[in-house]
Amino acid sequence: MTMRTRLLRRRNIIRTLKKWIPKLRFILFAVGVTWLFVLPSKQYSKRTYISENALLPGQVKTYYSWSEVNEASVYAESIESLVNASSLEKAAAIERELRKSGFKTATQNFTVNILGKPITGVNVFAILNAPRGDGTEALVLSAPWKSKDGITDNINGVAAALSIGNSLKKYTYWSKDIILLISDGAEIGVQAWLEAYHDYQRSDMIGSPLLLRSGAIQAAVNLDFPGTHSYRALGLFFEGLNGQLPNLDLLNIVVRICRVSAYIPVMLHETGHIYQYNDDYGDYKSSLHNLITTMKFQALGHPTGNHGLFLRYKIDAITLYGKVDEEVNQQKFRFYEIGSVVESTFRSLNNLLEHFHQSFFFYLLPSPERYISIDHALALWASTGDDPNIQSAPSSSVTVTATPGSSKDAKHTVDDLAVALPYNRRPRRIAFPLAVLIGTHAAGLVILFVVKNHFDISRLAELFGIPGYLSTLSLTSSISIVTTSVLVTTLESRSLANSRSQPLRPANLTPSPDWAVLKCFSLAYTGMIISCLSVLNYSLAVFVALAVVIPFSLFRPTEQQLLRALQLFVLLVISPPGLLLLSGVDIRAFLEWQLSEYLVLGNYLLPFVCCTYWPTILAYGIIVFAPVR
Amino acid sequence: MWQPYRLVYLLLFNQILLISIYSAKTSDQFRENLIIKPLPDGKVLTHFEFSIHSSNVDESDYDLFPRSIGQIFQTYKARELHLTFTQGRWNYEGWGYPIAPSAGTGVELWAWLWKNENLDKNWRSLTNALAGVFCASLNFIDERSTVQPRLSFRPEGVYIDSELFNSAELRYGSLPHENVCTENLTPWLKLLPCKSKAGISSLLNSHKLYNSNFHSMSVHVQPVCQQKECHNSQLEILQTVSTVFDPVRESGKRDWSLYQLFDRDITRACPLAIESNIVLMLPEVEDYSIDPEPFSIQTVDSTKRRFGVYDLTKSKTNFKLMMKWKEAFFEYDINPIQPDVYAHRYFTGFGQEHGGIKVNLFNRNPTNSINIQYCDVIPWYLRLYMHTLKVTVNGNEISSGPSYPIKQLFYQLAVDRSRPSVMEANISLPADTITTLSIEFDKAFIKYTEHPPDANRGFDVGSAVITTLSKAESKWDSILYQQTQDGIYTETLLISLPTPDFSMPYNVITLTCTVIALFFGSMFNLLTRRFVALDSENRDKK
Repeated sequence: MTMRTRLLRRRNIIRTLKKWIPKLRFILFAVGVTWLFVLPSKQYSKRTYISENALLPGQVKTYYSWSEVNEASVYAESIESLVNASSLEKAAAIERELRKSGFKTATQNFTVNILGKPITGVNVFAILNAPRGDGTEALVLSAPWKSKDGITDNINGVAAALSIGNSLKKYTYWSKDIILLISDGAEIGVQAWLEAYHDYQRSDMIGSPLLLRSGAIQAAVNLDFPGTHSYRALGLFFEGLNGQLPNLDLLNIVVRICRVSAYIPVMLHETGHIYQYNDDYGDYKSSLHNLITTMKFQALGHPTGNHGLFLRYKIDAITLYGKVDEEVNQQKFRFYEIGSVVESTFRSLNNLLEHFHQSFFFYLLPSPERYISIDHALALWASTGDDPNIQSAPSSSVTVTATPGSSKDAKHTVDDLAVALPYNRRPRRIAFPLAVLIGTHAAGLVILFVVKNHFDISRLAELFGIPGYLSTLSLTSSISIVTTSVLVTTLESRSLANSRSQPLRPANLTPSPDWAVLKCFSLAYTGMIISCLSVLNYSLAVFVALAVVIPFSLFRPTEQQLLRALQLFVLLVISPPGLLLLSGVDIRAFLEWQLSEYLVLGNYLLPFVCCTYWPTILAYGIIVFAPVR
Repeated sequence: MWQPYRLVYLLLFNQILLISIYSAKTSDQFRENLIIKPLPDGKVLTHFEFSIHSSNVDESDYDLFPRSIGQIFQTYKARELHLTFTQGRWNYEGWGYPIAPSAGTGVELWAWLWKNENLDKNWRSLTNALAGVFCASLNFIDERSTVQPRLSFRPEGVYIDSELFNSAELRYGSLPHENVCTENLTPWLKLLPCKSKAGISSLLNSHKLYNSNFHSMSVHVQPVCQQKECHNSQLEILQTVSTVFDPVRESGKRDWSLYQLFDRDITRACPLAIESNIVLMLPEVEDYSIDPEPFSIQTVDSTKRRFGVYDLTKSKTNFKLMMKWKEAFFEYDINPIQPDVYAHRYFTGFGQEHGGIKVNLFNRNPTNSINIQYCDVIPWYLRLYMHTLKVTVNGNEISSGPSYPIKQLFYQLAVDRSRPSVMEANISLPADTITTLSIEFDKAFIKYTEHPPDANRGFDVGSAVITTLSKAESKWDSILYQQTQDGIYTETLLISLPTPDFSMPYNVITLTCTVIALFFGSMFNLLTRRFVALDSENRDKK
């Protein structure tokens, strides 16, 4: 009796679910998108707090004084006269200054081949050994020669770093060594230095080994104060390579110090939304803007400053950027405030007893003092059971996509429930769909290879008078088209053969069409990719999900030419070349930028797009063109 | 690389000794010396040496020799004992070699113990007893960190050749992260005959000593001989304190005075001391003035270095000393001079799975190759792979042949949770080169209870020790053997092992999971078990 009611109940639940899943998935998608816009609102963020009690930010008297400001101004002048000198001369001049101040110094030469041309540089660094310290831990104060745009000279930044170094040297309370790093170029210098410091070669950069070292680096602060102006506000850049973030405590201490002791305005990035200390939330628009900017940086995987490269080595780091403002009537700051903030920050970091670990590593910031924790932001797991109209594909139920929500929205998998459904018995042949997926991925690898060798190819192409990026673009597209069409043709011939050989099968034994199985696979695969990605690089996962979820769950082969053309068009739009063309960026510049990031810094956006995203689009291209029966 | 100044003292002591040895009524002789050396980078090294020679420690009647150390030494059958507490790093590149023989950060203890069946027990007891005496965590030197080096830490006392190695065994242990503070200094001062009440030791003001760039304090107990024939072997306890002050940091100038360094002057020599000297190593350049002028000036013949000597026993009033340089402010040397041999050790790689350890051994001597003994003790949780040991000289890998720098290699494999790996090598460093040894390891996944309370800080790995041996230019008979050894200590290192999240949410999750697992287990058991009513009569039949 009870058994029977239980079984009946189960069947009812399954029926309801089956009926609702197609609608549910749109609802969930809508909820997800809405959630993204609800996130910045005040209710969903909390005020930040210092999690590691030892840090005690802003509770020390800073000793950075006007005499050091004068010293910094002198440094700035001499640095300004050096900006056009060669790397070697610059490094020698800085090293001389540091030696004069009594630091142990060393230089590092590096060479790297980027975009077919060799780039060389010289890093200078100095170590302040903590008095009576055992030298097992270190903090880094870095200033690159070039600002984060790679063009402007970071004159004030370098000058501030030198004078702050001198002032830190006067005190005995340091428990950790302090490394002053003046790196050449923008990001490459730091990359070369970090590789050499950890003696771990990962790119084809050739750097001379370091003969001077300190212990394990606990945190790094990068100063980016371009030019010789005064600054309107302090921009905080924290997103690292591949969307990694530093511990929230590091950001918190800087913001707290700016608020309570240095009294200088801060903002996230250079969005222009200057943080009002009396109103920690700000307005919705600025919150949304801050959020989207962070997500954009994370998705691109681009380090927003030199600090971003430290994160790979589990070193929490942040860039302090001086935002120049032309307005005259604004309150402005220069060396005195920079020095005080950095000194105070280092005093706090000096208190660290352990590596940063207390606070969050995954967060979104709508304003400098409000955060959205990952558990709130993750993730509208819109669960998309596949189109039940595909009578043949119960296993296609797939959890796709990202964004907020509670576990109530958690994944529903039809498989578990599909106990006694009649269509379950239809044979599904998986060999061919699997082959298609493997084929498209192989094409993806070839595309990556082509893009990687973009510069050799473009040189060849330029001999024939074709712009280099166009040749790469056409080559990759043709690889995609060839792969797709070959697979589609095979599919057609297969289904033709099938229909000839088995004309008189009972309906429930007809094998499900190949495209349906393929679609199940693709959806399951996409779901898997997105969920994996969401814990590695949340923002990238969100953007991928937004792009593909709706088209992927709706698209299917059709007899109607117009519908087919529409589907194809959408696929073209969301394909990487389509997105590139639509976004209106300079394709050549973008390609070069991404390539150098991939080859030198190890940004994984390019391989991800080529080897994962592009192949799934190709697989869908095949689905769209597949024969219906 | 032997130290000329040491010889000077020996000579100096011997002169006074010859006079005093027969006149002294007590059997124990106490000497106190303070060596002050202005360092090239404007810092000032002060090195205190207090030694007591005793002929009758075997008996229970102690004169000046500290009873607490003497009894420990006797009870646990030690032949030689060396204990050093160090805070900070010795900067070999800027300061040259230290006067104190040991400078590894943290606490280092090594002892030669007479061979008997209780040797290991004696070692355990010795560490525990010394922990008690010096208020330090020496008792944490257990079998997991104790090793027996074969090449380094040779005996420093004077022995008959035949019993040098046969009758005693070496034990070595170190605690790299042990902080040194006043609580260690106070018991150390209590060992001195005059405590810190009179004489040179009255300068030892902990407020000033611990506000310096380097601080090291040690106790060495070893047998010595005073005469050529060595018919009355003596036991020596040598206590040293080395401190590096930085006057430049405070004033911008390198001028110093005793009062400025220690916040005290010396009122009088320790009345129990047969020798009480302040030795100022005079810089080679002449642009300074000293007040008062040295009572006598001596020169080492080989290096022409000059020493100003102040005999405190002849000073009747408060002794003040100051040194002034003729400069408005101190300018750092742009090209500092480097010592012949120094080393630099570091971890390579990142992440919590693999890693490597590399040591750069510098030989800056332009013409001579130098033989060194390298000793590295690596905790068991770093699992070394011997096949990855690579040797490069100036960046070129050398794997065999006559130019292969490693002449002899001893390697002890680690045993999990019971003993560390030890790598010892006899290395010949070619002239003017950087020799690099590198080895790779896997990081062990240790039990959660093995993590220290500050789990995210990481684990400290003690210094590697490079010893350069110079056979003693023996002033004694050839059957007696003594050698001086100079230790060069590398940095201590910090390594992070895979660390579980010890935070509160993690604890809550683990706890809840455990409760749920227990609950589920018992419920599941109840539900799946078939309960059958047994007939008691039937069962009896069966």
